[in-house]
Amino acid sequence: MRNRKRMELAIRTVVMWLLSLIILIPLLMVLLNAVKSQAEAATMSLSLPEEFHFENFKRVIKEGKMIRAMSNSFFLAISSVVITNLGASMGAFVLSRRRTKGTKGIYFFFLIGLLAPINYIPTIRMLQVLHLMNTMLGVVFLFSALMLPFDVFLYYGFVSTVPVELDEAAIIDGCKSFQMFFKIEVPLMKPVITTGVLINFMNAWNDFNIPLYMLNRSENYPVTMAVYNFYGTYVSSWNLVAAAIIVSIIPVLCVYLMGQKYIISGMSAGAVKG
Amino acid sequence: MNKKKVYPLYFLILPVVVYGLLFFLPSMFSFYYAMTDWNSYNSEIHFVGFENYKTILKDSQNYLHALGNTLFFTVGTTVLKNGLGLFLALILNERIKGKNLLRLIFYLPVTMAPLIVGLIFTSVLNPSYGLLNSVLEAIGLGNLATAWLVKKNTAMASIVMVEVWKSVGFNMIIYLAGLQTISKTYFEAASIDGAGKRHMLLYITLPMLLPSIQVNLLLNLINSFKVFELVFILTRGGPGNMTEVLNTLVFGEFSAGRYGLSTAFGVCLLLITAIIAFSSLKILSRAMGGEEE
Repeated sequence: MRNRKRMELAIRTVVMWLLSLIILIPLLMVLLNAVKSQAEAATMSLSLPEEFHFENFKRVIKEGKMIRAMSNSFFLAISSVVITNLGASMGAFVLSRRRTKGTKGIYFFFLIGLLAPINYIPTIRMLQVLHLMNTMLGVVFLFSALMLPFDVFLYYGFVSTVPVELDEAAIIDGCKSFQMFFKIEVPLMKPVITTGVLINFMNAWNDFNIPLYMLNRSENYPVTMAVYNFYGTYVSSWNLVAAAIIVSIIPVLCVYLMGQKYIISGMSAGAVKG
Repeated sequence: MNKKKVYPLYFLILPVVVYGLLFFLPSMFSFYYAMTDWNSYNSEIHFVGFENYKTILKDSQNYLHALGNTLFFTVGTTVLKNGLGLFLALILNERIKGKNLLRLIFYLPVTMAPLIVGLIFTSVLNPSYGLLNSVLEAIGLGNLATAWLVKKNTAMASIVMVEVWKSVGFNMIIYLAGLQTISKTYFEAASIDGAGKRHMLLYITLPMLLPSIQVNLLLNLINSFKVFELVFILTRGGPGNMTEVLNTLVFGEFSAGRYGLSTAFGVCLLLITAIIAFSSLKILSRAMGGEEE
C-alpha cells in the first residue's frame, strides 16, 4: 500500500516535469538562438551554438534603439504605477471606510472598468481634446485609467481588514486625514502596495495595444513596439529577434522572480474572497 | 468620529478624474461616435444613426465570421485553460518534489507580453523549420506536421493553443489558492466514511472550488473576447480573413480611417462582454447559492 502510494507520487512528479518542458523548451529555444550566428539561427533549432555570438545583443541594443525604448518603457511604467497606486490606495481607503450609498455607487463605477473593454477611438478623441494625444503623458494617464479598477478592487479588499480603531487612535492623537493616511495606513498597506506596484509594472511594461494606437513617433516607442518594429526589419535574422525578445523580457522576469509571492497573492486575492 | 471629516472625499479626486475622463467617458461617448460617419478623410463629423450597424449587418458574412472566430477562441481557451489549470493545480497541491519550482515555471509565460509570446510562436509554428514540426518528426509523428498558421483547419486552433500555453498558469494559480482554503477535515471525514478519491473530487473538491471556478470562468470569458495581439502577430487575421477576430476588425477599420465603423465594432464588443459577464455571474452565483443551502 505504501509502496503503491510512493509509486503514484513518483509517476505524477515525472509527468509534471515532462509537462513543464512544454513551457521551457520554447524559451530555451529563444535563449540558445540569441547567441548563434544568423545562418545557424535560421532553423531555430535546439542545437547548441557552435560559438557564442554575444555581439547579437550589442547589435540589438544599438540598431533596435533599445536604450531609448527601455527608458521610455520605464518612464511609462513607473509613472503610471505611481499615479495608479496613489490614487487607488487613497480612493479605496475612503470608499471602504465610508460605506454610504454614494461611495458604494462610486465603487461600482470603478468595477465596471474591470469588465468593460476599452474603446480606442473615443479615447483618442478625448486625448486630442486634452492635448495629450501622441504624448508620453497621455499614455501614462491612459495606463493609469486602465489599471485603476483592478487596484481599487485590490486595495478595497485589503483596507476592510485593517482595524478602524487605528484610525480613531490617530485622530484622537491629533492627526489630520493626510497624516493619518500616510503615517498609519500606508505602512500597514505595504504588502498590498507591493502587489499593486509589481502587477501594474508588468501590465504597463507588457502593453502593446495602447502605444500601437496612441503613439506614432518612433522616439516614443516602448520596448514592445520597438521589438515589433525590429522584427519587421530583421525578420530573416532570428538570432537578432531572439536577442531582442530576451532584452525585452529581462525586466519583467526580474520583477516576477523577486516578487512572485506578492504577485501571486494579488492575483488570487479575488478568488479567495469569491 | 466624524466620518465625513476623517475620510474626506477629496481623496477620491485623482482616481475618479483619471478613470472617469480616460476610461468611463470615452466608453459612454462610443455609443455616439458609433452613430457618426467620422473618418480620416473628412474633418466634419455627421450623425448617421444606425448606418454603421447596418453596414456591419449587410456585410455580415465577413463580420459574422470574425464573431465566430472570437467565440471559437473564447470557448476553446476557456475550456482548455480551466481543465488543464485544474489538473495542474490538483497535482501541484500534493507533496511533489520541486512543486514550488514547477508552479514558478507554469506561471512564467503569464508574465510575458502577449506580443512576445506571439513572436516566439511564429517561429515555433513555422511550417519549414518550426520547432513543433521538428519535434513531431523526431518522435515519429512526422505525418502530423503541417503549416499550422496557414491551413484552414489548424490556424485558429493553433492560436488557441498558444493562448493556453501562455495563460494556463493563471488558472492554475487561482485554483491552487482555492484548494488551499479547503479544510483537510472534510477529506478525513469522507475517507472514514469510505469515500474513494473520485468521490472526494466530485463531492468535496469541486463544490468547494466553485468561487475559484467562477473567477476563472468570468476572467477567461471576458479577456478572450479582447484577444488581439496574438492574432495580430501570428496571422494578422489571415490568410484571407480566416482568423479575423473582433479586435483585429476594430484595428483594421481604424487603420483604414473609418473611425465611426471601428467604434461601432467596439460597441458590439462592449455589449457582448457585458451580456456574457452578467449572465455568467448570474448563472454561477445561482449555482453557488444552491450549493450553500
